Amino acid sequence: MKKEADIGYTVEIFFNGLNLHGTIINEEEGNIFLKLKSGYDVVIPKNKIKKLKILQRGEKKEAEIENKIGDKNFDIKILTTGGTIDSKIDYITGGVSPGLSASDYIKLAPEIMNYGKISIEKIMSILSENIQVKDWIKIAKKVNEAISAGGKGVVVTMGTDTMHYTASMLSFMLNPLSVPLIFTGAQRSSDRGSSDASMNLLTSVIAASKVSAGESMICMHATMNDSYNFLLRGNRTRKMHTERRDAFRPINSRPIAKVFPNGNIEMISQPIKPGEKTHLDTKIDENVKMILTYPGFNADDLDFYLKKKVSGIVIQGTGFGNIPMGNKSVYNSIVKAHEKGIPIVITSQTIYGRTNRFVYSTLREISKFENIIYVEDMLPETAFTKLMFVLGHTHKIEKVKELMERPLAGEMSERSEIDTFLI
Amino acid sequence: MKVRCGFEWHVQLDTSKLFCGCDSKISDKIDYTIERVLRASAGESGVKDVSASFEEERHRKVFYLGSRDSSCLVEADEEPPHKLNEEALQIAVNIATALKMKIFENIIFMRKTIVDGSNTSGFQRTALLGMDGEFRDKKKNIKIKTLMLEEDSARKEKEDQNSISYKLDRLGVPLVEISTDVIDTDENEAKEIALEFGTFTRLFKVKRGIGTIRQDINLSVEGGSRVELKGFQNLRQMEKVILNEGQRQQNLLKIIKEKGHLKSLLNENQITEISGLLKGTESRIIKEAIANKNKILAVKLPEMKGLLGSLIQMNKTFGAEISDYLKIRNGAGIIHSDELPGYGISEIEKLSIEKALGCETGDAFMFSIVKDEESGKEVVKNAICRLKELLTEVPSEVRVVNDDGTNSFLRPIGGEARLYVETDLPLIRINKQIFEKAKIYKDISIEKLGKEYGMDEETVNLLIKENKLNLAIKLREDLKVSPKDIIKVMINDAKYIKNKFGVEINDETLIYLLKKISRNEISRDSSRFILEALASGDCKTVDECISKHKLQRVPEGTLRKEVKNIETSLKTKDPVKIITSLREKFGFSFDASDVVKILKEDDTK
Repeated sequence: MKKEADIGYTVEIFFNGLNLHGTIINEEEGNIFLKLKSGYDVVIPKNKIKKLKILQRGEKKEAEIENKIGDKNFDIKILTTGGTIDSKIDYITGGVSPGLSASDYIKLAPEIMNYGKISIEKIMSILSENIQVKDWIKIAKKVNEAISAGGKGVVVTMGTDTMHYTASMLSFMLNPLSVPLIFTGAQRSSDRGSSDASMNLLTSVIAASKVSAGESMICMHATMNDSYNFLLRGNRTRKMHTERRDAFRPINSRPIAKVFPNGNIEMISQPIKPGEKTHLDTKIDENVKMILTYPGFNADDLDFYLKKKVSGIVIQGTGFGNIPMGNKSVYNSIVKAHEKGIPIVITSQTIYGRTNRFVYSTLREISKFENIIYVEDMLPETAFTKLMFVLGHTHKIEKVKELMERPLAGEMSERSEIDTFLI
Repeated sequence: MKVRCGFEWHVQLDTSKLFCGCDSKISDKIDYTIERVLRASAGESGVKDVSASFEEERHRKVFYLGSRDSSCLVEADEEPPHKLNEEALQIAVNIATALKMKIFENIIFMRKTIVDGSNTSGFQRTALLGMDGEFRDKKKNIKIKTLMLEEDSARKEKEDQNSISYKLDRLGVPLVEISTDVIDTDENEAKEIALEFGTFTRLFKVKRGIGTIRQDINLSVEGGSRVELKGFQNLRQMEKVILNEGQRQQNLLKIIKEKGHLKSLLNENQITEISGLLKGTESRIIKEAIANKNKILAVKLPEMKGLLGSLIQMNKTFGAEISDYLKIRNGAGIIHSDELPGYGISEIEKLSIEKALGCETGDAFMFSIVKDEESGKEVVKNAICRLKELLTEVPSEVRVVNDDGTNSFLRPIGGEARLYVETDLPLIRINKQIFEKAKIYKDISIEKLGKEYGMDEETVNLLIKENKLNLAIKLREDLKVSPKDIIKVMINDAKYIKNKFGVEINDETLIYLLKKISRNEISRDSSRFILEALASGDCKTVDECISKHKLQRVPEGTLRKEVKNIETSLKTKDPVKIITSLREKFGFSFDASDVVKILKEDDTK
């Protein structure tokens, strides 16, 4: 191919006895990707091109993205942070990247305008697997700002992969909350007609405007149908499927409500009452690690982190939160952690159910150490964010233990109700 | 009638689904229902596809009915596509090769925006596989423009104003779409071409039966426009369908020529509410409308008396062009003055409407029954808009073929904004083996297979169905194995063994057995016996079995002698008795058919 033909150029290519007209959309590994007038893309190996004629030079268009729209005196604030719901397809190259502008969110679900004055602000553009501790702090501050400015509800859109970590972390950073804070996203990108983005955004705004709750929640599809969403407690919810739109499930708890796209709400359980004033506290210690035990587990994982001088470790044990003690080395590591005053929080990789230290003798042996902290039916991810938050305030082991073992934001419960499994 | 016509043939391939492991079986079983709302999304270059946003304006709920056997999370749009079905790709390459197309070595799947709900995702996955081929009809060389490999859509089950339901069983069934260039032809020749094409597809592993080949026709007459006629499967109707659309376009052109100038007299803002005039009516429709507090909005059509009542397509009037459009667009209809008195509306009532609208002689009017005045005005405006369009040119649009061979408006033709890359799938390289296997299709025809390889149509069809045509041709060429033997051993015997022992005999063993048969080392009749011995574990190899059970073929001379002996000793010429007796002595080391032949020869002597 002649050098001067570039991406965006309209060309005529003679190749393999064909005479093709189209626009060059990409060049890769010796191939030209040509978009034909019919809309189909074809791949042409450069070395097989007989002749290439440039018909029109391309122009590079940089679309401007406005970051903020809406009323100054808003009722509902929508903060966008990226993720699938934010992804825009580059229709020319086919690449997907975060990039919806604030007004695009209104186009996703224009009906949101019926639920109050809306203000939309793009605060970052990030895929949720890449989210950092500093991003949590930024989101928490922005939420607090929106509430201080008079917002009666806040919706945060984000990638779904780590949404439950963020919702959980913010349940501690914004405590109490005076308005509902709702996280939502999409499992199918917004470019497709079948995207769940529209209904998720709409029902989240409905819930933010109508539900009287002072907590951090997640609002996503309840079923594979576009019929209603679940409103779920943020620190008791988990993404349980890679792809389905109803991936977010309540764990060891019941949903707070069903939210219908026509504006109806069916309450299922009691949310946390709104506090008088929202309190923002972003002090955290991010030097916390999480490990999983497994057959063959020995002291290596623990020792590795102990050497790194971590502030705390969350272990996802098996069953009741069991840790293999057949190997004396694990016991020795725990003694080491105990001596160093490093808290080890025990959760279970079964996800559902409550940890227990007394049923099997192996756990009794270590549970005498006060750095071994059992957190009842708390999710591992929630234990992880909570430990960061608690360690941000104290490193005193008895204090850490006390705070970890009692609910701060509805993240654990004393009773295990029978209808809280596999909802 | 002279028409310009292009075909778009959609042929279902006989494999499992294109992007998941589901069977492509049509079934009436329903295990679950999924309810969805589809929205049109901004398509390529940020512009919503014309036909997509048109569908969206209708805001309907879509229900999907699925069965566990024939659909999974992929059809439910709850999982990305799995990897491409290689067998389907092979068949598509075979067809493209037979059509002498230029085939791309790398293909890219695209998303074609479709928002009528027939695809759960809101798009159809489709890839351009080949271009520039030809199909030789008996008389003509027909240029083939493109061949796409794509997913079939879901089957429509039920539809009303507010909802539509589809069955998921057909969604994802592999399909090739073959588009011809425009052909200058007439209705009879067009039908012949379509029939020939149907015969051609029988050379490939494609589905058979109603609904497995569907065709769309792009049709225009001189001065007319491209109209896409969709969804007719009954080839017998072809001439009628083409004639109807040809006539429709000609009649529209005549109207445009004679009355086109009248469109400037139309005023969509002068809408009059006339329910007050019809209070005492005998008309059931109007009575009901008034009882439901509906509005009746009328508009004058200056100098158009007789126009809406004129026939333009068999029994369909020009007025139906407007009401078909409104029905889809707004779920409403029109009644016009050429139909009155009628629908229980009297001459006097007609006169009073004319008076209220200020109609003079030669003027016409139309009215529509609507829910309320505000949305109703939109309906009437749409009706006028459509009328203006029809008085300007033959609208280029997609129309659906009705059972009686006439057609009705379906939607505008989608623009270029309909396609963008399927980001869930990588670029697909077609490997050399696929092209290699497709080679035998280069000059293929039923006649050629018959002449060169001694295969009749039934044999060819069976071999294709079982994916053995390639192997059969190769065995025929290399080892002179007869196609009949291939069917017996590779298909019938192998299936028998699988059913009886649950054991799959590998191709190598089967080919070895066929070699022995074609070299006359063993009899055809022994093949099943040998395979049973292998499957049951009695023997380990074919050779072991032959020697253990003395299956070496009895020389012809010996067999003849023995036949004679038995004839004499049993005093019979009954082949069954003779063969039974021979089996006692020789087992399966001879073919019963040879004995019958010998007996026949003796007879003729």
